[in-house]
Amino acid sequence: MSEQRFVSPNGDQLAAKIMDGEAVLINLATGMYYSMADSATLIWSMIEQGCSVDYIAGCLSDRYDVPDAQAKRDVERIVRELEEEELAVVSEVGSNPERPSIPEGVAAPLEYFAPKLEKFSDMAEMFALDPPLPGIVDRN
Amino acid sequence: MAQSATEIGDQILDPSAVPFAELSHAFVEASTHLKPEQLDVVVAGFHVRLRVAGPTLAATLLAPLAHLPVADGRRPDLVVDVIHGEETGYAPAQTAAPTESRYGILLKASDDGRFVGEERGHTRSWLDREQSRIVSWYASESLLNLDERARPFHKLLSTWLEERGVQFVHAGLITAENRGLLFVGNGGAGKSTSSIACMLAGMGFLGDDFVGFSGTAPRFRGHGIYGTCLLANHHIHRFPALERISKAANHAFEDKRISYLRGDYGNDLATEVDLSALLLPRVVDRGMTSTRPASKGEALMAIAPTSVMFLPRPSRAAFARVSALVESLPAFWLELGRDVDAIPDVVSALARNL
Repeated sequence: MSEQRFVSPNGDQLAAKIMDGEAVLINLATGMYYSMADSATLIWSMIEQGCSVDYIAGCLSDRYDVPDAQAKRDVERIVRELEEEELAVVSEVGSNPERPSIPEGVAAPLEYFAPKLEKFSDMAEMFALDPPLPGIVDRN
Repeated sequence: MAQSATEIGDQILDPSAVPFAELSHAFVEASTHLKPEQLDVVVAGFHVRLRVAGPTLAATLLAPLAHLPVADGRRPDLVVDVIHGEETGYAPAQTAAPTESRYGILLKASDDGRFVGEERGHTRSWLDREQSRIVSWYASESLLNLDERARPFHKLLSTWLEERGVQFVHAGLITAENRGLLFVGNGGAGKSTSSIACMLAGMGFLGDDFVGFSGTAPRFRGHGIYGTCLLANHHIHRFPALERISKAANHAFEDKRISYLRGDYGNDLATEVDLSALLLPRVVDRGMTSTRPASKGEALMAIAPTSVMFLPRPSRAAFARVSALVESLPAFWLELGRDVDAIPDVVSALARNL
């Protein structure tokens, strides 16, 4: 049996919040920012709880009534994107909650849409012209 | 990962390499020959004393703050001392050639965190966080960028105020029906247009681009700081009253004009107000301007990235404060139709129903 892969937010450079079913993420090191909605918000909330890829896929499948294989594929893809954007990290250490906490506003929709990470780069030019102070990003 | 000191290179300095003492000494020297202009004002509740050695530069740097309440005789919380190279003859030991092509801003800090600096080709400004003092040198008033003229010291001032519970946000702020309304959104969304249209209609104006807030849920207080506005060259024609008093940029790459506001429009240049709602302007392709509720997620997207990344120190703490503000206040889309003149009435009607 293969090792479980647990996903968690990349705390060093990430600011994130879920409000009204939408997740807003900012990469403080690059100036890129992102939004996630619907099933993607559910996945992000699971990532904030440090869940494994399989566990997240199971939750997605249960909540949206999508086939396990599709849920697994979609979660794998979005986790890969989050890793590439340095928003999440994957490790073999972690644990899954007995019952996941589902944020308010992530109601089960009638129809399943594949999770999507929307990326916004309009701050990047300003960031390049006027870079912030490095090295003293707070750890709060 | 946050950058390490070795990756940072010339942005993190040994404290002995920080030119604060040199600039401080130069200010004292310059002041013996040229009496500094002094302004004592209350900025977001703090007494700030500004002293500028060089009357030409003083006129430019102090004008955006001149509308603020005059501070009483108590000891200042922050002192800002400025030297104008052109009028005092002083230049720092290491001075790069002024750049004409772009902003070229470099923020620096000492590795012990005590000093934070902002350097451009024509200026050096350093904040001593321990002594609450900023010392600055500007080569020539004629080289100032628009942001330096409209929002003097905003990077170091926002750093200092943030440590005292005042969070800067990239937003416009007005008062309507005694309620504080924040206009939030990225550049081009319509923050300035909305704020200025309301100001010209006689509403209280606290800022069109860069304001502060303090407090915790459920009560947040908005702070106006700069009595100026910046409008794009192609856009200022919409506001003839401002166009008449506006001044051009010093550099060809800056495509805005600056207007110094003095409450000449039947309105107040207010400085504080309780915040009641967030308005998210956006231009729509129809005639009428209207409002409709926005979700908190939409409001957070509109205010957080642009405000947090605009700061000298983007941080999770700043993001958390902005998030708390969004959680606490109702939010509305302000959909800007072609009838710009209708904005004040639409905003007033919304404020009455809050």
